[in-house]
Order: sequence, then C-alpha cells, then structure tokens
Amino acid sequence: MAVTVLVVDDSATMRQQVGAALTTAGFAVAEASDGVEGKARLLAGGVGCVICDVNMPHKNGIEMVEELMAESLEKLPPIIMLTTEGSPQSIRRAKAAGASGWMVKPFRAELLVAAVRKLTS
Amino acid sequence: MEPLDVVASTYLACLLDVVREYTGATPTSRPLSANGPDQDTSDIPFATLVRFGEERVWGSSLFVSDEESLRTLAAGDVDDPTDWLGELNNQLVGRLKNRLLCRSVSLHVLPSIVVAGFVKDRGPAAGWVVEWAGGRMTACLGVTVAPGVSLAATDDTIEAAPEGSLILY
Repeated sequence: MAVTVLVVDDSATMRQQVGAALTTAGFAVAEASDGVEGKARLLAGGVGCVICDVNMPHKNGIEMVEELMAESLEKLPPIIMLTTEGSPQSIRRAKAAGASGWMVKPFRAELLVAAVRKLTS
Repeated sequence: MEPLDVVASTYLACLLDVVREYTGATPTSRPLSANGPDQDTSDIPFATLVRFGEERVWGSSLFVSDEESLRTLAAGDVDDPTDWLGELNNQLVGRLKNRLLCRSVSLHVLPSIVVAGFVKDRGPAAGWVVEWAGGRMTACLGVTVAPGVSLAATDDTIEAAPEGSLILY
C-alpha cells in the first residue's frame, strides 16, 4: 500500500505541484491549506510523512509542528518544512520543534521525492 | 547607498531571479511610469499583495499580471492564476527576507492577499515592468525605513539557506 504524504500549503498551486511530483513517484497524497487543517488531518492518522509550508494563515507551519509535538502522545511521522525562508534562526526553530528537514522553495521534485523516500523507508 | 535604494535594488534582483527561475530565460525590466499603470487593464489583470516588516523596515509587494503571462511563469499546471501569483509574490518576499538578513533585518512576512484589479494609486512605491518571452508582470514595492537606520551590511556570516536546497536534520 502506498505511503500517504500530507502536503500542507496555503497555495493550491503549490499543493498541486508537490502532489503531482509525489504521486508520480508512487505516493498517495492528502492536502491541507493551513496549520489548523494540517494538524487535524495529521491527528486523524494514516499519514506517513508531511510536507509543510511555514508562512500560512490561521496557524503557520512551525507553530503546527510545535503544537503537535507538545500535544501528541504517539510518534509523529517525519515532517519536512517547504518554504521560501532560509534564515538560520527559522531552520533551528523547526529542528527544535521536531521537524525532520527544511527545503527552500522553489522545490526540486527529485530532491523532495528522494528525501520522502529516505524518511519513510 | 540610501537605505530605501538598498531595499529597492535587492527587491528588483529578487524579482528578476523569480522570473528567471520559472521561465528559464533572462527577463528585462524597466521602471514603471510615474503616471500610472502601464499594463493594459482591458483583460482585468490579477493582483496580489504581500505585506512584510519588522521594527525598522516595513512595506508591501504588489504583483499584477494576466492569466496568459502567469501560465508561462509556472513549472506545472495552474488552475488558479491568482493563487499562483500570490505564491510567486510570497517567494519573492521570502528571497528579500533572506537577502536582508546580513543587514540585521529579519522581516516577518504575512500570507498573500488578493486585491481587485489594478491599483491606480500606487502611493509612495517604486515599480517595475518585467517582461519575458510570452509574458509580462508589474511589481510595485512600497517600503518605509525608520529614520536613522542605515541598512549597512553588518554580518556577512549570516547566510540564508539557498533556494532549492534541502537540509535533513
């Protein structure tokens, strides 16, 4: 059965492009448009990996990861932040929150797929 | 260089990089006319705004383009041109944030919003028309730098992760 990757981004176009790359590589894809939706979808279960934007309305990506790590009793799947930001401070904050990786947009499909494969294998 | 010029020249460099990234070609740019919009408004262009700021530097980035141009600026399918224009604007401001880090500026960036049609009164903004094979876009930067702030490079060792890079912890 294909591993499900949750793509959390407020841009429908980004979700579509990331989703297409992952689907082509054999993954199943679920979507959420902000940190609130993403957290709810993740807690519903069945997600093997998360690709998450940072700058989103309602709840940003790092806040989502911080809340999940603080509240979750079970082990969470690996989370890769995918964002335009590259500041060392933000990268460190995501790592401290429990994220597994950080990718700076524009995303390279082959790099992203390889990372998801590595983290879900 | 004056602080406003530092932000404006960095913004323009980021703008050209974003267009180059998605078209694969080197775009041309020219300053926007001071007399108002010089993009044909008959096709009802799409417009998005991204606001950014910190204590000493704040402002906004306005993108205006049309559907046909936006499709040439996409790496894949685009079902919603306005959504894609907002994402491109967000990617530009993200690059601006990354490049101002070495000047001790750390911008907070808000999610993009859609604005209706072309904004005829741009206010105190710098603007550029960027053109490439198959498309064009207008970008306006409105920015304020607090009095006494120089924006000189303070720490060359603060380096943002480059675009397209991946770090696994």
